[in-house]
Amino acid sequence: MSSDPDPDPDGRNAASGSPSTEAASAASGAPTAQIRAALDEVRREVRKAAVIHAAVEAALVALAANLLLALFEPGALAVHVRLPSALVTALRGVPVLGTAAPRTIGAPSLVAVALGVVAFAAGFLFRMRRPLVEQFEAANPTLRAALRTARDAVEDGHDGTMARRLYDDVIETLGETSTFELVALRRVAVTAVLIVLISIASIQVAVVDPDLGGLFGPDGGPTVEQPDDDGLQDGDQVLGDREDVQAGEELENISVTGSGEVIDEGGAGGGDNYGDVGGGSGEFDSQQAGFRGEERIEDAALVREYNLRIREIEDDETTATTQ
Amino acid sequence: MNGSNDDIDRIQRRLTALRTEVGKRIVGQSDVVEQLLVCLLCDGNALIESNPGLGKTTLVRTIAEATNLSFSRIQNTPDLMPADITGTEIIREAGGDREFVFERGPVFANLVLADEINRATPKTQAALLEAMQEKQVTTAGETRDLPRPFFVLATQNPIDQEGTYPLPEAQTDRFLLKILVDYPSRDEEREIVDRYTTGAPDPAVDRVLSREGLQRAQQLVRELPIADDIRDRVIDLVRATRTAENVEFGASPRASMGLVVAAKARAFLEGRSHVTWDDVAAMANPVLRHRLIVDFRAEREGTTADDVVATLLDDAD
Repeated sequence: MSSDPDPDPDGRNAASGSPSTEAASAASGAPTAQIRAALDEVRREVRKAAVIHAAVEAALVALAANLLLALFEPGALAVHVRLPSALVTALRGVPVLGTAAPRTIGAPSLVAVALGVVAFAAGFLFRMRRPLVEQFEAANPTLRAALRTARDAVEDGHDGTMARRLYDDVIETLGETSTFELVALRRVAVTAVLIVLISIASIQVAVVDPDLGGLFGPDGGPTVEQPDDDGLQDGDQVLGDREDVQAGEELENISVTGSGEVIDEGGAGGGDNYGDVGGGSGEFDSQQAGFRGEERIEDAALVREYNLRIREIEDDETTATTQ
Repeated sequence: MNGSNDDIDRIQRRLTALRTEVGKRIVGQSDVVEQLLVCLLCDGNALIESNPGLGKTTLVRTIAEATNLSFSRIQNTPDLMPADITGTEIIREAGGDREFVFERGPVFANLVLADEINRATPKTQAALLEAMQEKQVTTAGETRDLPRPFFVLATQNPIDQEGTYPLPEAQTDRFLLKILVDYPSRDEEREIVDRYTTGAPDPAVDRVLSREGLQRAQQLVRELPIADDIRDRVIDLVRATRTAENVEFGASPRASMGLVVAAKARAFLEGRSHVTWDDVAAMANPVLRHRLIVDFRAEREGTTADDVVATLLDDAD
């Protein structure tokens, strides 16, 4: 009579509790344990995704900070910090770096790295504040209701026939679900593009070295254009702090031994390039002091003051002679 | 997949087949069929409201045939007495002896269609509703169990209210669902006309689900897990009816229980092992519409209980 190909229309097996049902009941706890393990796996995957997001964003923050600090060169960060010897040794172990590994790191770079670390920690913690399984559910809306129900059922200790069916369904669906959905691909891709762009900009800035910090003078107005001093280091940094020397009291004989020969002793070019003097042995090196625009003006004022005084003296002498 | 899952799959397939069998005789009305099956799976009773001639009796009879349930119909009238429903003791002569025997009334069936229940007197309504609630009747000092499963599907006619005894709110609360049967679409009506005006016999319906199978399905529905947050949202929804604007009386905790189990039944009917909010939203109106009393002002402006429930559902989303 029945057109249903499925036998047992009376459902007697179902009503009486089939042996298979009893066997399933005997194995009580196994599906619950599987769900717990699956939920642990879900939490691990969400943590991995959080690390990926936080790392990419931290790299962006660090590079952006490095670029900004290179552009504006704040005076307070114009120092180099010596790297720990262990780190230097480790860096020298890197085949690409070798002996070219830096011993010091600029304070701006250090600040940028610190900002990156802070950004990573903040990004990771920000993503950890929301329950991990809920994040997974949000990324997989088709699985949300089943997973949430299974989670609650496990916590409430449900182990009935329908609960077991739910656990089986969820485990099966989880096996077919990709955790790829957890990674916001568009966001990561955009961040990666920004990282590349900022990296290129950083290289450009390192080559050109514009100082946007000098665009705005102390009074906020435009400043005098600085001469190009590529290759020069800060004079104050090389010579040290200015001191007032009254007079020398001790006389010492100093002899400097060296080898090589003096080239062009006449000093063509007025000694602009001290590196050429006494070269050859490499035992001592010379450094040309650089100077900034403000210092040039300051020096010019000093020269003018001297000139005025010299003229006054000359005028006085001339007047005395004529009298 | 283990044996339990096979059982569940088998029963869910049979429920799908049951809908197919009902569709052989009933054109359209898929929502009504779904709500009736939900009612059967919840072991509840339904109040069906529709205009005459929309196939209520055919629908209920078809479900009874396809599930191998005994079926009876009670046409309620003002002169119907409680004993006419529950049964009475009559004197029977056998072999020269006379003895009182209990003659069972039409309520002793698995599926009872109580037509136009609001035409019966309150006393008769109370007898029927007591049977519905207690699953047993007491006559001549003796209590008798009703057959299981036991469903009462009571109909009300929304028009022609003269000479009727509207069910009190306390009585309507005992119905799990209030199902509204609307007119079919034009195409559906053409199909109905073609199907039943050719002189051909009614389409045969196969028995696809047994009483035991139905009872097993009811048991599985009760076991179906529901997420804590969905359960809490159901409770909040029902509680909101008590403070909602335009509502004079809200739904009782029985409505919360009814909505949860109805959502479970719908999920089971859909072949799922978990409840979604869509299940709740789909069953909210049938479960709540007869449990809310819209205040006079809102009623005068045309606001219905369904409108109130729809607003509350929007707020809950």
